[in-house]
Amino acid sequence: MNVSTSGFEGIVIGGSAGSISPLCAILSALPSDFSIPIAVALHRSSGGVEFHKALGSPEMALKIYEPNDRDPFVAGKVFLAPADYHMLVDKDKTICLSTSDMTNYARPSIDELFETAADCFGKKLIGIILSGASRDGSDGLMKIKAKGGLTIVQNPLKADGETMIRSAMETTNIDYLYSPEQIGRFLKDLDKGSATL
Amino acid sequence: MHLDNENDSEDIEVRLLLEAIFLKYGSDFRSYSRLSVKRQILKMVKDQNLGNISELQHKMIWDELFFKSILPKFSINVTEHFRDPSFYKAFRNDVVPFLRTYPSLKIWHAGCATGEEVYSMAILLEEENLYEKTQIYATDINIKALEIAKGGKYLSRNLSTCSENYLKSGGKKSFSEYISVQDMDFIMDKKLKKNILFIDHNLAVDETFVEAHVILCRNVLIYFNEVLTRRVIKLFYDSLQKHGFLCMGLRESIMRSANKEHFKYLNRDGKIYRKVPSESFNRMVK
Repeated sequence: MNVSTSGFEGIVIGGSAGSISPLCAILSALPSDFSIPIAVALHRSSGGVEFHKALGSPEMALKIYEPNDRDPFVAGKVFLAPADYHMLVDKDKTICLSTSDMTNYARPSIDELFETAADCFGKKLIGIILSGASRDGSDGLMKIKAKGGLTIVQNPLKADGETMIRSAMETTNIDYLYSPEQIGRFLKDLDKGSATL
Repeated sequence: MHLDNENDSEDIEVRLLLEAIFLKYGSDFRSYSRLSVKRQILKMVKDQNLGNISELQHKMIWDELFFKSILPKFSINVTEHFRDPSFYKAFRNDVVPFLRTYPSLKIWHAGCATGEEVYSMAILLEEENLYEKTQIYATDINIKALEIAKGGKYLSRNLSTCSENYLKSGGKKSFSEYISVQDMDFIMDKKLKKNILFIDHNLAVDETFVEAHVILCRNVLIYFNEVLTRRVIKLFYDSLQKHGFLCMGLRESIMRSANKEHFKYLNRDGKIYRKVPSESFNRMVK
């Protein structure tokens, strides 16, 4: 795997109600050789068939992948937290799954992913909060910021669910407030080394 | 170079806490997955309104009652009847035909927690006319969980999930035929308990006690570190009959390089493996 010239080593994305279409918009902008590993935690019911169909759109160059415990967290695919598991990133850059109690009424929980990824990557991490109707993710994003990472939220004015975004904005001084399309473009340019921070 | 002092301090605290618990009470979580344990510990710190892990350690070491009350939080017992229905379906389709060929069956359910999945397997075997010739050994390290498992009494409010899972798993009747409802609880049918032995067993230190046709150990190894995981896989290998079946959680892969020659996939999506008899297993463990 290439190491991204951007200096970033991980991207974590969290969302809940109304986050599938912005997530697709972001991921569709990324090429197959996108070199920063991506992990996504979305609140979802354990069924998930509909969910997979929605995410497996053909425009996406990166494949959606539900990892096994202890898989290395690498670029080339999008790691999606499996239904009913917390997905964590360990310090040796492997994925760690857990069925421990719900956090913020959710499993997978966004905070579980964000906080552990922040411990792993420090300032080399980008955290993104999308549409959602809970406060999950706010603590995680705050930790990412505290460790020097970059924080982005979807523009709440055009999001289906504002609560998650507003909550994150209340607790963290967000770096960028973008539309999903802008986030996609930003990440792509960042990886190519042509984005300015 | 990114230096992360706060984080390093937390990791030091986790190590010290686990060491302290072991020295004081003998409970050994030092071979558990460090990250999972750390998350559990941080939750305890938050729930107790403490400032950091060191404060939790102080409380645990000096207050035995407190320690005893919080001890169960180290083990994760999230489970449900017919959890992952697709697994039971795969088991029914791919393993049951083999099980029909044996005159009697031994099944070891390792890490059975509160027993829901043990009764699920009993129901499946009953419907396939295999239960009568089966002895199930259901083990766990958590005594309180085992007590619940033995009682076979669960909350009625979870019944709809049970029924839904049961049907998705390929159940042939109705889940309600295997239980009796008593207000807030439902109790598993006595005839399902007949061939189940619930036993206290610690995967980290205890030895093999059975030569099983099937071992189930679902979502347990995700909480163990690499060294302990290797020990347990070896234990399972030694506890399986020649071509026995090993069933893991749907997100657990044991097919790391070291295990490739000792297990093969029977059903990849169901994470059902089959033992490959070999003389060379001891080489795998250092």
